[in-house]
Amino acid sequence: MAEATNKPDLSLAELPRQTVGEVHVENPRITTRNVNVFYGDKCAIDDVTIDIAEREVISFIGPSGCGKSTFLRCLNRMNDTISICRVDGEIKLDGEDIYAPDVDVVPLRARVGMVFQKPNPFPKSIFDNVAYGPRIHGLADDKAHLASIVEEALERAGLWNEVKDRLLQPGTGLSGGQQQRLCIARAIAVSPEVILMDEPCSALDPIATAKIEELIHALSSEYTIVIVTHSMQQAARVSHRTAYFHLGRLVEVGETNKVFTAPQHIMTQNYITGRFG
Amino acid sequence: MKRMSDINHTSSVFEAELAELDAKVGKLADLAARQLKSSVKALFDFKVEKVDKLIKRDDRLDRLEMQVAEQAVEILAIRSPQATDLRQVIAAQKAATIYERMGDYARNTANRAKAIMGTEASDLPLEHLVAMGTIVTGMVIDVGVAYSKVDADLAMEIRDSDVKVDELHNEIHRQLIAYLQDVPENAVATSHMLFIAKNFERVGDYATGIAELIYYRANADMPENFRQKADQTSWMTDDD
Repeated sequence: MAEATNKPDLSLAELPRQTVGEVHVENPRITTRNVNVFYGDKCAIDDVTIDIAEREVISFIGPSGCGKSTFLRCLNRMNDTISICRVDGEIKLDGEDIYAPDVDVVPLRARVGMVFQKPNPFPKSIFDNVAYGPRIHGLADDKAHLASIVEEALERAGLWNEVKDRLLQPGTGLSGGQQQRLCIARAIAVSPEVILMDEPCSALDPIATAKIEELIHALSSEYTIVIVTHSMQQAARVSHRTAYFHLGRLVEVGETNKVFTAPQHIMTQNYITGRFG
Repeated sequence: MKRMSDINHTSSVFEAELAELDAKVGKLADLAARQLKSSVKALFDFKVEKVDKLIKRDDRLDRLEMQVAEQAVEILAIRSPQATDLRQVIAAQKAATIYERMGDYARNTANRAKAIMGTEASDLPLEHLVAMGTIVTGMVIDVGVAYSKVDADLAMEIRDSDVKVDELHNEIHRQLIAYLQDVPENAVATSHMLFIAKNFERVGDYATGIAELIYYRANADMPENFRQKADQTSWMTDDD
């Protein structure tokens, strides 16, 4: 851990056993302790401990294959769909172990929603895409209530004005950026606590990206958002904290402005300055 | 084995751009030190053609400063530098402005030396002024070396040494005021000397400014302790 100076510690030129920076927060929504993930025999995540705070935006960055998406997918048990994947350690959402045997992943994934790299609207109308979650979770009392949930979700996703006159048209007919915002609307329609975003802008143009980033900023007043991104600038722009992963380890975590101006670990510095990755 | 810190950028063009930026700041540092040295020389070995050359050469500092500023903006816009690279670019941009100002003070000193030579004054007490100018030029040379090596320890030594320049300035200021009272017919030349002393004091301050940039570049922070200052000339009265 660095002392008085912010100069990166050259003695930490190897992968650290312990994460550099403060991994704990005062108001955690998610806590993870000593998490390991294996694909068969291969260790993809190695002993990661980190808290994710209420209403914070945290970015996971790191070179391809560093485990950031794998770790993200642990947070709503998306890795359960991969048969050879095994998750050890403890992951809690609001103090409840999400890997406990009695946990039903369907409501879990409503509480911890996910937005993927490529917009993936259902082959349904715009309205039905957003109404899907509230319907299966029985959140609407009647049709009018459902319509208001859909409208509110589209409003919050910054899409309402663009689609309000064509709600019955297919979601797949929207532009890429609109489709991604539709997916965000779909995620927030079920009132999640946490939204996971796995490279949500990698398929979008700069304007669509800016709209998503603006949306992340707006949503951060209500939701905890965890975003995996390959864009350092995006991490710097949207997140309060940034976590740097390398070869399955969480190397460093800290306030975003500190990580991008004065990283503590030499590996973080070399990655964010473009020296490897 | 290659250390992590020795690893080059993935983009060799970016690596070259950063090296070029540092090289330009190095040139500015050399040029500023040379100008100051010449301006000090003009006080004890005045040669009008050399002083005119010095004054003309100031344009080169102005142009170089512009080049550093433009390149820094380009790097910021195109490369979005982070961490050490970001600090390198910010430090270069600020250092260039400081060196350009140092050049202005050297030119101003040369102009005043010319003006002094144009007066009827003789036997002026120039030796302390020359000593002060020499010390300050040494600081500028040293801080240029510290910048090229990103040597924060050397930079802090230079920063701390500025207090001696301030004390010397106080002494020279008092001396020149006394001289002004004793030899009022040399008032014009003496007032130029007062301004030259102030020029050198400011250049000392600028050298400490560069030293602080070196510290920032190395440590991502400004030095913690406040810089000691001893210049009292701004509030000196008859009783001082």
